[in-house]
Amino acid sequence: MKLQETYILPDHTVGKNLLAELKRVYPLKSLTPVSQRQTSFDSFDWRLYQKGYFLIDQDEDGFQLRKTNTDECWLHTVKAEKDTPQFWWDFPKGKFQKALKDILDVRAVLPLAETIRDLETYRCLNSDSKTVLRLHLEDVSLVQAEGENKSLRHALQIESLRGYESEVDRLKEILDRMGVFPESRPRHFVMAALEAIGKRPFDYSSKIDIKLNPLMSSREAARIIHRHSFDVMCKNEEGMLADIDSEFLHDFRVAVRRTRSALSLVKGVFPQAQVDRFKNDFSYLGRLTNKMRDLDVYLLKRERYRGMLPGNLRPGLDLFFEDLSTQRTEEYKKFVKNVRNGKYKSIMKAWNSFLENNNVPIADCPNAELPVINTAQELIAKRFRKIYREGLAINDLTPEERLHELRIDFKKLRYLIEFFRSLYPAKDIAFIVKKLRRLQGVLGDLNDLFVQQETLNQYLSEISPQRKDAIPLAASIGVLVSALQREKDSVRTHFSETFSGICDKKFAAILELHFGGKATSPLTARSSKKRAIK
Amino acid sequence: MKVLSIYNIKGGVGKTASAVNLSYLASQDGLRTLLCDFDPQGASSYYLRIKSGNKMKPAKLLKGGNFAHKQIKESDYPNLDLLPAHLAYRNFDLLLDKQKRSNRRLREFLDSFSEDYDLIIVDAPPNITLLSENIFRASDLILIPVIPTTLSILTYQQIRKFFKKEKIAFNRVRAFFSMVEKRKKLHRETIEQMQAEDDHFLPVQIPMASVVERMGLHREPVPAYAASSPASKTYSELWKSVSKILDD
Repeated sequence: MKLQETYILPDHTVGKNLLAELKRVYPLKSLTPVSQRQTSFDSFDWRLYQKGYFLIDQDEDGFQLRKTNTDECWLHTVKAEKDTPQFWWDFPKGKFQKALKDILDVRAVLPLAETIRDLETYRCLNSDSKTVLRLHLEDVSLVQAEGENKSLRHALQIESLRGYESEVDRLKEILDRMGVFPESRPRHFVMAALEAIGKRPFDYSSKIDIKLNPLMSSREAARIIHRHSFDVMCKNEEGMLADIDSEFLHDFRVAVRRTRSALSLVKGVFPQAQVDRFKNDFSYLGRLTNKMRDLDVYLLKRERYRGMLPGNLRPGLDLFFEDLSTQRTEEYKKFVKNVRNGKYKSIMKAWNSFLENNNVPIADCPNAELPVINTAQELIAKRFRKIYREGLAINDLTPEERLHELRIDFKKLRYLIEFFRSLYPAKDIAFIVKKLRRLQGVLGDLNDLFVQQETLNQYLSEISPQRKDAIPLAASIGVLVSALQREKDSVRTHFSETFSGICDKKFAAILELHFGGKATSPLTARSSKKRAIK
Repeated sequence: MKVLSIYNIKGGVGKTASAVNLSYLASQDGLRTLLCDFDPQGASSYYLRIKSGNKMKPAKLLKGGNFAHKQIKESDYPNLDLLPAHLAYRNFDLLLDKQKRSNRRLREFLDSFSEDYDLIIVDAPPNITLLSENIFRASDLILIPVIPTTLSILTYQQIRKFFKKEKIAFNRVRAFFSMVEKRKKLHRETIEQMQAEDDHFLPVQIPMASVVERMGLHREPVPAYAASSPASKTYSELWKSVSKILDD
C-alpha cells in the first residue's frame, strides 16, 4: 500500500459530497471509521527530521517511523515497555531500535505535538469485489492543552495497492473531470501541527550559524558571535536543568567555551576590564559543569568499556559504574542548586545587558572599529603559525603534555574558523575544516584516552581495601587501564601521517590566498625564504 | 525471510484453506507475508479474489527480477500479498528440467523477494514433480495436512519414502490432521495411533466444518469472516505452533 495523492479539501462536507458523487461511478464499500491519536517526537536538535522521519506514537498501533514527505511508514514497533520511552534503548529490541540508535545516538526524544486523525476509509472494488484502491477521508486536528481541538486540515487521500497501480490513474481522471486536483506539494500533517503551535524544524542546532559582513566593525562582529553562543546557552538551559539527556549540558558547555575563546582571542574590541570580568564569570560557569560532564562522558562509555573486558571482569566494572551513577546523582543536585542561585542568574543577566548595550566606550579598544575581515585574517594566520611550529616539532618521544597543548591550540583555531567562516568562500573553508577535523580527531582521542586513564588510576588508588568487592573492582579497572594504553599507543602512531594532511601544497595555497603569505604554512615559509635568497 | 510450504500429494485435504488461513494469520501478526499460489487450479487466488495478469512467462518469472515482482498483487488485508496462480505454471517442470541444479532453483527465486517479505507461504501443487521437489528443498518448514483415514496415512508414508529416497531431511516436515470428524471412530483411532507413533504430527486438529467449506462463498480467510468459530480458533492454534517452529 502506498499513498499516491492527497487532495486538500476546504471542509469535511466537500469530502462527503465528493464521495457521494464517486459512488455513482465506482463501487465503494466503507470501513468502520477510526479515530487515531498520535504524538509525534523528535530530539531537541531534530535528528529524525533531518533524516526525513517523524517518530509517531499512535494508540495501540505502537511506534512508527514515517517519512516526512510521503507519510509512508518505514518501520514500526509494538508499544515500548516504558510508557514514555526517551532513548533508543527504551524501545523494543529489533530493527526499529537499531534505526533509532543510528539516528539518535545519545539524544532523547521529546514530544512535539499531539494530533487526532479521524479517518473514513472506502474500498474501491472491481467486479470480483476485490479492493483495488483505498480512499481515505481524513480530518486532522491538533490537541491543545486548553480549549477545543484545532482543526488542521481536511483531505482526501488515494492509496494504491500493489499490482493495481493503474487504478489510480483511472480515479484521478474521474476526479479531474469533477474539477478536483491534488495538492502540488503535499505536506505531512505533523508539519501542519508544528506550524499551528509555532514550532519550526531546526529551530535549534548545536552548529554555529553566523553571518558576518567583511566590512562590519570587529566589535559588531564580536557581538554577533557572542550573541549566538549566548542563545545556545539559553536554549539549552531548560533541558540541562531537567536533565533530559547529556547533550543539553554538553552544548551549553561548548557555548561557554566558545564565549571564553572569543573573549580572549578577539582582543581590543571591548574594554579590557569588562572582558576580564566576563572571562572570570564564564570560567566559573565552566567549572560549575565540569564534574557533571566528566561523569556523563564515563557513563556514556559504559557499553564500550564492557566490550573491552572479558566477561568475568564485567561485574567489577558494573560496580564502578554504580559508583559513578551515585556520584552523578549527587553532582546533579548540587548543580541544579547552583544554577538556581543568584550568581548564575546574575552572570547571565549581566552578559545579556552587556551584549545589548550599544554605548560601550570605544576608548582603549584599538580594534573595535577595524573591519572584521582584517581581524579574522590576522587571528587565523597567527593561530596557524603557532600550530605549525608546535606540530612539526612533535615526534614519537614528545611528552603527552605537548600534544595536549597542541590540541588546545587546534580547538582555538577551530572556533576562530567557525566564527568567521561566513567571510570566506564556503568550498575553501570546507576543505580546510575537513583536514583539520581529522587531525583534531586524533588529538581529541589521545586526550580522551589520557584523561580516562588518569581518572581511572585515581579511582583505583582510592578504592578502600575494606570494601568487600574491592578485588573484582580493582581487577576490572586495572585491565581497563592497560587496554586504554594499548589504544592510545595505536592512535598516536597516526599523528604524523594525519598532520602531513595540512602540510600539502593545496592546503598551503588556500591559506595563503585567504590568510596572507606571512609564513602561514611551512611550505610557503620555505618558498618565501628561497625567494629571499634569490 | 522464512519459507513455509503446504503440501500433500493428495488433493482435497484442506491444503489451500490452510495456506490462505495461515497466510492471513501470519500477516495479522505483523509479518509481511507473500502467498505463492503454485497450484495451477488457483484456489488460493480465487479465495483472495485475485486474478493473475495475462502475460505469464514462467521462464521470465523464475529469474525473479522486475517481471516477477510485477506479478505480485496486494490482497485486501494489510501485510498480505499474493503471487497468483497461472495455468502456465503447469509447465514449470519442463522448465526446471532444462536448468542446472534443477532441484534447487526455486529457493533462489524466492530469495529475490527477501527484502519485501518476512514469510513466504507456498501453496504447492498436489503431485510429486520436480517443482514439488524444488518446493521441499526451498522450504524451512513443510506442512502436510492429513485426513485421518487409512488411505491418507498411506499417502503420508509415500511422501516420507520419497524424502528418504531423494535425501531430503524429513525433520523439516510437520503433519497435522485436517477435516477431522470427531464423531467418526476411524478418525479418532487413526489420530490416536499416528500421534503415538509419529512425532512429526502436531497436536492441532482442524475440524471438518461448514464454516471452512463456506470459504468458497465468502472468498475470504475464515478468521476474517468467522473469527470466533471453533475452526478459526484451531487455525490460530496451528499458526501459533507453526510460527514457533519457524522462529526456532
